Amino acid sequence: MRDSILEIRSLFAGYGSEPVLKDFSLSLDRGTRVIVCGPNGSGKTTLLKCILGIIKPLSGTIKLLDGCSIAYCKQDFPKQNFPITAREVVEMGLSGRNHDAVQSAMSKTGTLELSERLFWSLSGGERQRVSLARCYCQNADLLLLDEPSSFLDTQSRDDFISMMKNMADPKLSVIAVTHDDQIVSSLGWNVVQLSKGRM
Amino acid sequence: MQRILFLLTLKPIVYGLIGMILSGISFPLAGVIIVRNGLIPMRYMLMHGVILGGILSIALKIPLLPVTILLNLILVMIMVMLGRNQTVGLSTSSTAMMVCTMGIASLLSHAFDVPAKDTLEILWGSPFALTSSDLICLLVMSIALIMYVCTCFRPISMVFFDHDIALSRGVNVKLHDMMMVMITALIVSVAMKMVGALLIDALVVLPVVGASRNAKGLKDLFVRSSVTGLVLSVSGYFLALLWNLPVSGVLAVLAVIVYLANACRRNRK
Repeated sequence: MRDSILEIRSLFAGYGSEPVLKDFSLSLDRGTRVIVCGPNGSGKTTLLKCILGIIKPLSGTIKLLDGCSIAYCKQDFPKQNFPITAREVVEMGLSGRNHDAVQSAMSKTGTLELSERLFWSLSGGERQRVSLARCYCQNADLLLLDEPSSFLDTQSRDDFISMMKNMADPKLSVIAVTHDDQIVSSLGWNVVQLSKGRM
Repeated sequence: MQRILFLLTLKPIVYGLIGMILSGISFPLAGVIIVRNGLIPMRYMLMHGVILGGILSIALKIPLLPVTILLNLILVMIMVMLGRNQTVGLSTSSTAMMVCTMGIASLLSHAFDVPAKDTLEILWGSPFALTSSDLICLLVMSIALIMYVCTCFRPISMVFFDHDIALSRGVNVKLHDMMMVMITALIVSVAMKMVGALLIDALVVLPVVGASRNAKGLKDLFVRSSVTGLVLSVSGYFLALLWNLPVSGVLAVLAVIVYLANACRRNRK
C-alpha cells in the first residue's frame, strides 16, 4: 500500500499576482527522495516555501500527511552581526530538551568539534553540515534541501553527496532543489525538471 | 563611605538604587534585541515620543511615565503598520513618525505655553525622581522581559537567525517581531526617565556592544550584556553619589570606557 506523505496538485504560486510556479503536481511517498532541478528563477525555492507554508499558493492544493513534520535546510545565510554557536543553531531543531539528539545529530554530520565555534566563522561546507545537523535533530518526516551545493567547494560537495547517500533513515523523505548537475547525477534520485515554472 | 551610608537612608536614593539594579539587569536584554534587529532608528522616534509625552504631561498635569509609555506604544503600532509596506520600510516609517512627533510637540508646546527648559529636562532624566509606582512599573517590565527572553529563547534565536527557518519551525515571526518592538518602546520610555534621552544608549545599547565583542554565543551574549549592564549601572550610581555628579553622565562615561577597553583588548588579541 502506498504511504503518501505529500500531494501537490496543479500548484500555481509566486510573489505577486504573476505565478513563478505554474501547474506543478507531485506525489511523494514516505522514504522517497526526489531532486527538483532547473535554472535560477524556475520556481524551485518558491516550491519549497509553498510546502513550508511560507508562501500561500495562488491556486492548487498542497496536502501533507497529518502530523508530518518538515525540516528545511537553506542554501546559505547572509553573514550577521550577532554571536551564535554551531550548537545553538543545531538546538533550533529541537522541540523539547533532548540534548542527546543534538549530540547524535552533530556526531552524524561530523560537526561535534565545531560545537562551540561561532556559526558565522565557519566555512560554507561546515555551515552546510551544521544546518543538516539541525534538520536531523528535528527528526522530521520530510527534509527540504534548498540548493545544498551552492556555497560548497569540491571537497565539501563530495562530502555532502556521500552524507546524502548514507542517510540511514528509510522513512525520511527528501526533496532537494538544485541546478547543480553533479549533485543530480551523483545522487541518482528521481528527478523532476522545472523550466520557467513548469514541469 | 559614611556619606554614602547616610545617603542610602534617603528614600529617593534607595529608589534610585533599586531602579538602577533592575534596569541594569533587564535593559541590556532589550538592547540585544535593538542591536540585532537594527532598531536603532526606531529608538530615535521613541525618544522624540518621550519628549512629546513630556510636553503633554506638563501641559495637562498628568504623570509622565504612563503618558510616554502609551504614546510610544501608539507610535510603534503606527510605525509597524506603515512599515509593512515594503516600499516604505520600518526605517522610513520611523523617521516619518519622528518628524510628525516633533511637529506635534512644537505645536502643543506653543498652544499650552510649555517652557522649553522644562521639556529639555527630560533629555537628562534622573533616577532620584523615580516614584514607587515608577518602580513597580519597572519591576513588572523587568520581570516580563527576563521571562520573555528565558522562556522564548529558542524562538527568539530562530527569529534573530533567519525568518524562513523560524517559520519552518512553526514560530510566529510576526508576533515575536511585534513583541520585540513593543519591548523596545516600553524600555525606551522608562530608560528616558532614569537616564534621559541623550544617554539612553549607555544603559541599553553600550553594554551589549561591549559584551558582543567577547560573547561566545547568543545565550552568552544575553548573560554578559545583563551582567555588564548591572555592574555599570550600580558602579556608575555609587560613583555619581560619591563624587556628587549626575548619574547619567557618570554612567555614560563608564560605559564608553568599558566599551573602549573591550575594543582595545580584542584588537590586541
